[in-house]
Amino acid sequence: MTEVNVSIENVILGLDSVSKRFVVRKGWIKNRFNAIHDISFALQKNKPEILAIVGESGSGKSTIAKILLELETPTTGRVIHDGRYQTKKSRRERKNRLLFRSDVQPIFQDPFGTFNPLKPIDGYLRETAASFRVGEPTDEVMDSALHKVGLSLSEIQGRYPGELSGGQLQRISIARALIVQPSVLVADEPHSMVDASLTVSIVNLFKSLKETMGISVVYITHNLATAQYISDNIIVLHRGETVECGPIEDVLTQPRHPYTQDLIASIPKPDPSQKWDDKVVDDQMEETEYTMKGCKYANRCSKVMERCRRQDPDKRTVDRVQVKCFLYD
Amino acid sequence: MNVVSLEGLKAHYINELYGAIKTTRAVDNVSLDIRPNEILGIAGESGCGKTTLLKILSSTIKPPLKIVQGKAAFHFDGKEIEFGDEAKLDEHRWRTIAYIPQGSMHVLNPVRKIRHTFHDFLEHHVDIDRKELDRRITDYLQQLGLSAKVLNSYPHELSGGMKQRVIIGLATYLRPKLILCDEPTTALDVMVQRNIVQLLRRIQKEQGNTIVLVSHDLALHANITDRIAIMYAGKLVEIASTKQIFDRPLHPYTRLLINSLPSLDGTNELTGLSGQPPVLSDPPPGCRLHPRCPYVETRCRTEEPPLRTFGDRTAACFRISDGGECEY
Repeated sequence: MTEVNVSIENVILGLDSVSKRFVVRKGWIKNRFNAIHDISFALQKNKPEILAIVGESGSGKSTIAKILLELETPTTGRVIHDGRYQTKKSRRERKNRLLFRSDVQPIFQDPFGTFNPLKPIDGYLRETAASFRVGEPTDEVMDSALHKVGLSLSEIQGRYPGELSGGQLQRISIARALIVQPSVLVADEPHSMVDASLTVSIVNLFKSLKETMGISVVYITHNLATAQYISDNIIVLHRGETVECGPIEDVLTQPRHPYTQDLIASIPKPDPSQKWDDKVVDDQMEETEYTMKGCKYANRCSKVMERCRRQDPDKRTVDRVQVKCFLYD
Repeated sequence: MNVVSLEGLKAHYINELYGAIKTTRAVDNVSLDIRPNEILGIAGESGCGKTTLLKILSSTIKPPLKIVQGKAAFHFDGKEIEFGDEAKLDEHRWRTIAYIPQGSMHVLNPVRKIRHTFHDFLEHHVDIDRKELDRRITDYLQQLGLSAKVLNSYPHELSGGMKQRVIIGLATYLRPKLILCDEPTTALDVMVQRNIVQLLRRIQKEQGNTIVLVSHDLALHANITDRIAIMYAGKLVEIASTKQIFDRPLHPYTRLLINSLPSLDGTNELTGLSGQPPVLSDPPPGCRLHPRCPYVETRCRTEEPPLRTFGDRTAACFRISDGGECEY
């Protein structure tokens, strides 16, 4: 589920009201803004799910990924891993870090940027296997991981990243993550650099990993259509805040927040008879929206009220969905 | 009169490495007419030669890219300009042909204000004083939905969508007849993508230009284009109106592309294309799709299907009957 109402022992990975503040300097003036603000969710043990985090660029999606992977420390709030809160001390201990890494693995955005072009690709897999699967025959470990993503060791042995396509490279980075036998994958826009026709193969792979191996996936994307296709729950982010979250079928079939509605209307439909209307929603400067008072969508919202500009709406629960909007009082 | 006509065009990348010549057939035997006032989409996977075709259309042909065979001509104001006529084409660049390359948001010079970028672009074309020019640019940008503040900003202060709009503003300020857009929305998210597409459509309506739009996203094509040319491994495999392509795709590749599109309405299992696109320096014999095609016949493996015309559309596949029906 997306709220932290489950007891903490059952949580494999989660965030408890996490915020991250960045400082932007303009001459002598320091501007502080919250890249993400008060984000909470939890993935449960023994109940694998795919959680989609969607939002436009600059909505804090990648900051969440970095915090989940402990590449960034939250300003306030805590990360929950395997039934325990991560603390400063636990992050420093090597044993703990290894434990965390072997449970949570990243898949990055750009497969061409992930791998060193001058290093054979199987080296990455071999290193991971040697440090996380000590005592097991490395080649077999690599081969079985590659088989799960539809490749084999003989296909990629000794090849360089430049010789492989984007789709293959992305699958290899998934295979590398699988060697560690994680319980959660954090995938930050895993197919944005891959062709539309190959996107499906990567997305289908996540689905089968969840079903056959019980791996949970935090799937960060701006593509609502693929999110709908594979995910169980969804969090819609706007300027660092959760505007709507809940089970995917509820959120996408009956979007409540105006931002979610606009997002859904913006997906191009593969049907020439349903073209977009000519209504244009202008995009705003990122900085103005981040530092705004009140609801951060007020400038673009079609149902804006006077009250939205003064006051920040709280989260309220409608059916199974949480919405951050005054419309549902 | 067609704006551009290509006839049997072959353009190859010819690389010589330690005496061995490697030829990449990026555009192979392409015949295409671009009609005035239409939005033509070119779709296909990465590495199928879409961008190369656009480079040829914008006549920025630099070695190792070389036109090996075929004829290409532009028709502007009743005059025909052939390819290779560099001096004449130079005159037309930016004024009649505007090219928005892929990732063009990054062309904006990070240490110069947008105002100066505009001046740099326009100084060879417009002969009026700076103040008047500034006023006109501000007016034009306002039509595109950008505030006057943008002119005094540096590129890093603008969001991706705003940068893309500035680029479109730069490219269309001189009201060119032909606008070539290469993946104008790849790095942008859905809402900005919608804005940009609507902006392009509006400009096309107001100025009456011809737009060639290259993208691998067929859903985007459905929203903006009038006609679509589907490209696979350097060849055009199907050309038809957007409605025809989506209602009744003839070529198996088109059908596979459409089937791989996820949509919010259906939850049916999606099928991607199996296998990899062919390497263009060594394409498979016969029909280039045959290793990945589920409807393959024996002759597909050896013979190459010609591009055939069925009424007002064309497709290249053996398994389409002469009446234009799919036999698979």
